[in-house]
Amino acid sequence: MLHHILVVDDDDDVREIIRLQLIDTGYTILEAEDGEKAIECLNDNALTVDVIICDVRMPKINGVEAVAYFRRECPGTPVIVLTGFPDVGLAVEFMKEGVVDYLVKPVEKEKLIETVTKAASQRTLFGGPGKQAW
Amino acid sequence: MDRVTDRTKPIADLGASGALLAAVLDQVGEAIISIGEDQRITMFNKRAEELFGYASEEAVGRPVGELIPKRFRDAHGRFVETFLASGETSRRMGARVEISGLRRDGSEFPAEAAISRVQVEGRIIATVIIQDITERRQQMEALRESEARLIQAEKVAAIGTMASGIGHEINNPLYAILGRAEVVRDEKDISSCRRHGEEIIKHSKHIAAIVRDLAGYVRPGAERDLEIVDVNDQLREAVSMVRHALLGDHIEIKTNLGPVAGVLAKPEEIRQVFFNVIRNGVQAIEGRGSVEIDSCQEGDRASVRVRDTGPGIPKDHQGKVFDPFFTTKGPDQGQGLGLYIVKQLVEKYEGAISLESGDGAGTTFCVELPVAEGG
Repeated sequence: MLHHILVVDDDDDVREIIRLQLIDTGYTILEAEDGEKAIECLNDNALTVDVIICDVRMPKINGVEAVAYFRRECPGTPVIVLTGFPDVGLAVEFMKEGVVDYLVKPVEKEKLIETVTKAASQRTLFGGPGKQAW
Repeated sequence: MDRVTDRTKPIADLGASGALLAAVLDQVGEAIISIGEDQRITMFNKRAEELFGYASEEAVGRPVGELIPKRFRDAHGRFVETFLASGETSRRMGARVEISGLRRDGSEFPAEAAISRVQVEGRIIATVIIQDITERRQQMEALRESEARLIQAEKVAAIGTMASGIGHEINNPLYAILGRAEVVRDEKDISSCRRHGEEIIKHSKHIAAIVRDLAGYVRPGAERDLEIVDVNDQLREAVSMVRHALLGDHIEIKTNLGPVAGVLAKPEEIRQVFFNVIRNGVQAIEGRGSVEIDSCQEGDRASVRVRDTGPGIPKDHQGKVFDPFFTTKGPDQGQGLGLYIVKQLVEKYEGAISLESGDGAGTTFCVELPVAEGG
């Protein structure tokens, strides 16, 4: 079965960088440019998305709304927030929501791979690492 | 000192009425000096003695030009000569002019002077009333410095409140640079790295542009003359600043900039006006909506309208929005000085700002500035 990482970010360059940084992990990268497309993509690939990497500031459905949807509809799929906002309050809110990590751009390749690998290992089909694990 | 002639003899020598007049004039709080047609002093009251450091008897008979710094003396002499020869009897008190006075010890002071001309017993006498404005000047200077500091502090505070937005704007291209640099580092085939190098340059330039915009906004304005400022250029720069720092996920800025002649101003102050008004509109929206900016020329005024789709300003707040420290926003969105600064700057350039708003109907701010001749 294919293993996917869903990358949600409105910046084309950022999505490409994430793809380049994760190219050696063996995952196939699915890309969405906003929360709305991410939800569509997740609905189509719910069983094969191992990790979601999600930006915060995006058009249409933003990161806060999108993460709430992911956690509600796919609680077994770990979510990593990757944002340009170095905001402690926002980070705390996301952690309460059950995201596995809150990374601030720019993040180094090794750190991203480590975080994604750790997150993927916690993925479950029926309920996830969620709030109880983090 | 030259001998006092009949035509310029001191008023106090004119008999009892002259002595009475001189005594009355000594009670006046302003310096009063009379001069004859030859521009020599004929009367020098007590306050004039205090102001210029001469005793009345020393001053009377001296050319009045000795109370003026040398560099202004010729021009002053010509002005008084013309005035005495004219049929003009007086200048209105409101038409006081600023001059420099010269004390006996050689020091100078700023003063305001009003001159009047009367004919007494065939003699023409000019009377000059002089007020020392040193203290007023100092107060004005202190006020001007305080205003400049306030304007600067508000700019810095605005950047502070936008810090996280700016972080986002810079961190994205920084991430693109880091990621591509990692690819270059790890890539064995160096020929494939050219594209990444070009991308790194592009993103570096983007960050440099953001920093330049921000630095240009925060930097205090240079002490320079006013210049013809392109209103639409300043609007574009202000919009760019707001996009860098404030624009939320669901906020749209639309611009419709028409032809407008330039205004005579400092460009950074006009940019601050527009930035503050646009920022106010974006903050009013609270997450979802749009800000529309129109510019046009109406007669001899440049007109800029900034319309937001926010909840509007309640009627009882509308009269207060330009007051200092009036704010309905949270502490992370400013100190309530933005629109106050806007009003100060707009009025400094003889412009006007007004607003139209209704509950739930959004708000439109209209900034009008006089266009420069030939602008």
